[in-house]
Amino acid sequence: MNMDRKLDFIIGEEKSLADLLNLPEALKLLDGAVSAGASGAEITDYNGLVLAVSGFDAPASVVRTIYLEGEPVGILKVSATDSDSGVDGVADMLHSALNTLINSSMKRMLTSEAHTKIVNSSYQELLEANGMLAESERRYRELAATLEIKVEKRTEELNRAYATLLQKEKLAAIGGLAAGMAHEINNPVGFVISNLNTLSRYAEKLGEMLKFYRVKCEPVMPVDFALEAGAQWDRLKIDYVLSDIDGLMKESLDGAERIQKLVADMRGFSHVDEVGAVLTDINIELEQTLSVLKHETGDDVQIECKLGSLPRVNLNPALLSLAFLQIIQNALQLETPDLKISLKTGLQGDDVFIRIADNGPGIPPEIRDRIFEPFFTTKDVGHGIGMGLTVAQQAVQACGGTVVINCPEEGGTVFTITIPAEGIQQ
Amino acid sequence: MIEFDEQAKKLVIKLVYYGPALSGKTTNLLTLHDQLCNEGRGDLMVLDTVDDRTIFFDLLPLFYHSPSGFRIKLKVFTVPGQVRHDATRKAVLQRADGVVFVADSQKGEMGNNAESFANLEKNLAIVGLDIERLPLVIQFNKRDLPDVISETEVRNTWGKTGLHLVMASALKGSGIVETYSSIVAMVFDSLDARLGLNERFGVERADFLNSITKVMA
Repeated sequence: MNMDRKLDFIIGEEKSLADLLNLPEALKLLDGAVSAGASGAEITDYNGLVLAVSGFDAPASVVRTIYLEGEPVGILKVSATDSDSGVDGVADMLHSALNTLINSSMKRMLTSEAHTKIVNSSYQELLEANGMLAESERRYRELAATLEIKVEKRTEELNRAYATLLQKEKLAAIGGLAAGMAHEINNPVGFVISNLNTLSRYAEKLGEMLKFYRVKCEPVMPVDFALEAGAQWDRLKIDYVLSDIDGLMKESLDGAERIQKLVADMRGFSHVDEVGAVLTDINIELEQTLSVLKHETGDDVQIECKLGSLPRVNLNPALLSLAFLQIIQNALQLETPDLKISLKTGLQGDDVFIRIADNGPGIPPEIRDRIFEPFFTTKDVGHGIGMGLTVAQQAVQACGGTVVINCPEEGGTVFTITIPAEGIQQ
Repeated sequence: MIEFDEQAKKLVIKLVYYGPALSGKTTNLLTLHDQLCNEGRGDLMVLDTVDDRTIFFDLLPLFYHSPSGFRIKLKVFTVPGQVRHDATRKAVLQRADGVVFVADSQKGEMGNNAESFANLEKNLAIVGLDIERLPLVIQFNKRDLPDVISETEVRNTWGKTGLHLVMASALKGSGIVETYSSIVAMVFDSLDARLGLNERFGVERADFLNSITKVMA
C-alpha cells in the first residue's frame, strides 16, 4: 500500500461568508422578515458586497454584525419606514436565524466534506491494497500450479547431474586403472615377446644341431645304439616337436602382441593422458572402442565397418569413445540370434556422422522418446541402471553434437551421431 | 499552516490535540473555551459525537489582530482517539503547526499512550511533517485521578526526549491553559523564525501571546 500518499485537502480551510451562506434559504429568512413588518432586509459581506436582499431600502434601519468563528464577516441590515415598527425585534430574530443557518452550514462543510474526502482517500487506499492482494494471490496461484512441474524438472536435472558425475568418476577410475594396468602389463609382455623371439632362434639352432648330429653320426654309430636312438627319436616324437616349435612360437608371439595392442588401445580409449578437446581422428576412436569391446563380441556377432575418410575434429576424444562404447554395448546386449552391428562414418555437408545400426527388434515407438532419460531401462533389475544411453547423449552433446535414433521398417535400431566438422568452438 | 496571505496580512495556524481514546482531548478544548477570554475567540464546535466519543473532530477558533494590522487566526483541533478513525486523524493532522499530545496518566493506560504516540509519529511522517522540528507538547492529563503514575516516573521516562511536559487535569481545569500557552509560544517562535512575523509584519510576541492566551478575569 502506498503509505506515502499525501492528503490533498485541508481540514480547517478558511471559508468566507459567501461560501457558507445558503442563498435560497437566506432569502426565505429575509422574505420572512419583510412579511413580519420590515420594509427591507439585506446581507452584505465585510467588503460591502451585497449577498442577499429582500424588499426595499427604507430610511429607518437597524444593523447587526454577522460573526463566523468569532470574527465579524458581514452585516445584516433590516430597514423600516419608521423606527417604531418593532424592527429591532425582527432584526434580532433574523440575525439569530442567520447565525444558526451559517453555523449549520459550517458544520455540514466540516463534517460531510471532510468525511467524503476521507472516505474517498480510504477507498483509494483500499483499492490499491486490494489490487496488490489480487496480484499476490495470482502469483501464489501460479506458483502452486507450476510448483509440481518445477519440482519434477529440478529433480530430473539433479538426477541427471548426479548420474553424469557418477559416470565421470567411474570413467576417471577406469582410466586410472587402465593406465596403471597398461604399465604393469606392458613390461612383462615386452620381455615375453623379446624372449619368445630369442627362444625361437635358439630352438631353430638346437633343431639344426640335432639334425647335424643325426645326419653325421648315424652312419658311424654301432647298430645297437643306432636302433636305440631311432626308437628314442620316435618315442619322443622329435620330428613332430621340431616341426611344431615354429608354429607354437609364432602363436605365442602373436598372442603376446595382441596383449600389447589391447593394452595400448585401453590406454588410448581411456585418454588418461589427455585433457579437453584435441584434434581427433574419429575413425581411430571407433576402432579402439571396438578393440576394447572385443571380449564382449562373441563369434556369433558380426561387426561390419564402413569407415569413410574424415577430417580430424576438435573435440574431447574420451567423451566420444565413451558415447561409442555405451551405444555399441547397448547393441551387444541384444539377445538377437545372428546379431549384426554395422558401423558407418562419413561426411554429410559440414557435419561428420557416425551411424551405429543393429538388426535387433527395434525400439517400440511409445518408449522411443524416453530411452535417453536417466534411469530409464527395459532390462530387469540388476541388469543395468538405465544410464548408458543418457551418458552417451550427454557425452555427444558435450562434443557439440547430437544423437538421434530411428527404427527403420525393415527392423533394427539406428543411432546417428552428428558432430559439426569444425568441432567445439573455443 | 492552513493559510498565509502576505497581501491580506493574514495567517491561519492549526494546532492539533492528539492522543489515545478517552485521554481528554475534547475536555481540554471545553476547558480552554471556558477559561479563555470571550474576546478573540469563537465558539467551540463539537462535531458529531456518538456516546460522547469524538468521531470527527472538535474545533475552537481563536484570533488576534495586531496593532500593525496583521491578523492571526488560530484553529485548535482535536482528533478522534479511537484506533478506527485513523484516516480522520491523518486528515486533521495535515498542515498542523503544533501538536499537543494528551496522554492518560492512569497506570493502565501507558500501553495506549505509547501506541497512540507511535501512531502520531507514523501519521506525521505520512502527512510530511518532521517530528524533530514540529512544536510538540506532552500533557499528562487526569492527574486528579487516584491510580496514576507519579510525576517523577513521567519525567524520568519522558524527560530524556527533551519534550515539554505539562501535568494537567482537564476536568479540574489545571494545566490546561499552561499546555495551550506553551504550545502557542512554541508555534509562534517557529513561525516567526520562518515568516518574520515580528520583523516584517510588526507582530509583537508578547502582545500576541498575552492576547491569545488571555484568561477570563
